[in-house]
Amino acid sequence: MTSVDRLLEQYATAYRSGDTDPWPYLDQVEGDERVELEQMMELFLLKVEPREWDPLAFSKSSAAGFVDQLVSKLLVPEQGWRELLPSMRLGMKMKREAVFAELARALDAKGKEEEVKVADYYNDMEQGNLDPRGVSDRVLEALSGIYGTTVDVLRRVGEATPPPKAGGAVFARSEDRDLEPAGSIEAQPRRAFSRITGKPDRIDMLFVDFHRSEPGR
Amino acid sequence: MLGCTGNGEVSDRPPKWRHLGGSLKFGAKSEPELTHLSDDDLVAYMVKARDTGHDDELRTATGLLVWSRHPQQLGLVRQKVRNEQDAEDITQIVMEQALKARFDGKHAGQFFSMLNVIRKRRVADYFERQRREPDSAGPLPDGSDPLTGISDGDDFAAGVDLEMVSEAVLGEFSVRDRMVIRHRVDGHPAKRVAEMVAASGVEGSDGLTSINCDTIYSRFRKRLRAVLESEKRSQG
Repeated sequence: MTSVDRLLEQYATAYRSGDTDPWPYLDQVEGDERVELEQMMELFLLKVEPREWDPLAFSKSSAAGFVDQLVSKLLVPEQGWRELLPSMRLGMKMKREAVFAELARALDAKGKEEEVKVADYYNDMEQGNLDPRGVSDRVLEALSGIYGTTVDVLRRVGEATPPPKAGGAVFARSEDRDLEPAGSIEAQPRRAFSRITGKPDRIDMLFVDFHRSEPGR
Repeated sequence: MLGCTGNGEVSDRPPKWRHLGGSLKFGAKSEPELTHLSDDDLVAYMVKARDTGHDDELRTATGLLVWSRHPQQLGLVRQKVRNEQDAEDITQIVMEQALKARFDGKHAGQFFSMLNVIRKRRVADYFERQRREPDSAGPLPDGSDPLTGISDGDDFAAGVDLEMVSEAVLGEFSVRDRMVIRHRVDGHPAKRVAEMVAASGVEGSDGLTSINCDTIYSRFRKRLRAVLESEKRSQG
C-alpha cells in the first residue's frame, strides 16, 4: 500500500467521524504524491454521500444559526420585488407579455391604453421603480393568482425594501397638475413622460397611492 | 399589441397559466420524506414553500440541505484554504450563493454542479484577494455575482474538471473494476473492498484479493494522472 492509499483511508475515516481537516494528511507527503493525494481526496469528497439528517445534532450545531440567516435572506430578497417577481415569472416560464395580458385581464383593463398602462406599471414593479406600499391588494391578488403565491408574501417582500427615491421613473411619470398645490409655478405637466394624462384613472389608483407618493413634490 | 415592449394580445381565452402556478397548493412533507428528495427536488420544494408563504417548511428544508452538503463543501474548500475560519466563511457564502442562484430562477442546471462552480470561483477570489491585499482578513467575496468573477490563471479555478475526467477514465474499466475503484476512492481498505465486491456477486468477483484490488486501483490512479496531465497541457 502506498502512502497515498494509506493517507486517503485515514482521511476518509476522519471525515466520516466529523473531521474535515485534510492538512494533517496532506502535510505528510510532497511532490507528486502530494498532488495525487489532493486529487484522490477531492474525488473522495465529490463522491461522498451527503451527511445523514440528524435533527438533534443540527439544532446544536453552528449550522442552525447559519440556516436562520440564510432563510431570512431567501424569504426577503435583498432587492425585493426586483428579485422576487422575475424569479417567480421565470419559475413559471412566462414571458413578460403573458404576465401583462393576465394582469390586464385580472384588473379588468379596458382598451389598449389601460392595457399598456398595466404593462408599464408591472415593468416598474419588476424594476423596483414603484413604491410597493402604494400598490393595492387588488393588484397583488391578481399577481398571486398568476404566480401561485400569496398577497402576504408579495407584501412582505415589497415592504421590506426601501421605496424608490423621489425623482425616479414613477415619480417623473406621475406628475400631474391636478395634484399640484393651487398656484404652483411648477404645475405644468410633462405629458410626454407621463402615463397619466389627466386625473389619475382607475389603473393609476391601483398601482400608486397618490396620497403617500405625493407626486410632483 | 399590449404594452410598449410586448406582443401579448389580450383575448377572452381562459387564463392558461392559472393551472400551472396559480394554485396555492403546497404539499408539505415530513422530515423523513424530505431526506429522500434529491438536492434539486429539495430546492424546488424550498422555492415553492417560499412562494406560498410556508416559512417553517422552508426553514426545515433549508436546514436539511445545508446539513447534508456542508461537510462535503467545507472539506473541498479546506483542501485549498488552510485557515479554518476563512474556509468556513467561504463555504457559507458558496451555499448561500448557490441557493440564491436557484431561487432567482435565472440559472438552470443541477444544484450540486452549481455548488462546485461557485466554490471554485469563490476560492479563486480568495486567493486573488490575498495576492492583491496580503494583509486582508477573511474571504469577503459575498455580493459578487455567483456565476462570474473567475480568476484567470488560477490553476484551481481554470483547472480540469476532476470528476468528469475520473468518470471518463472509469469508463475504460470493467464493471467489477469500476466497483473496486469506487470503493477504494470512498476510502475503504483493499481487504474490505475485496469482500464488498465479492458479496455483490458481480462477474469476476470470485477469488478477488486485496492485492488484486490494489493493482486495479493503482492502474486507475496511473491512468487518471496521465489524462489529467494531458488535459492540463492541452489547456496551456
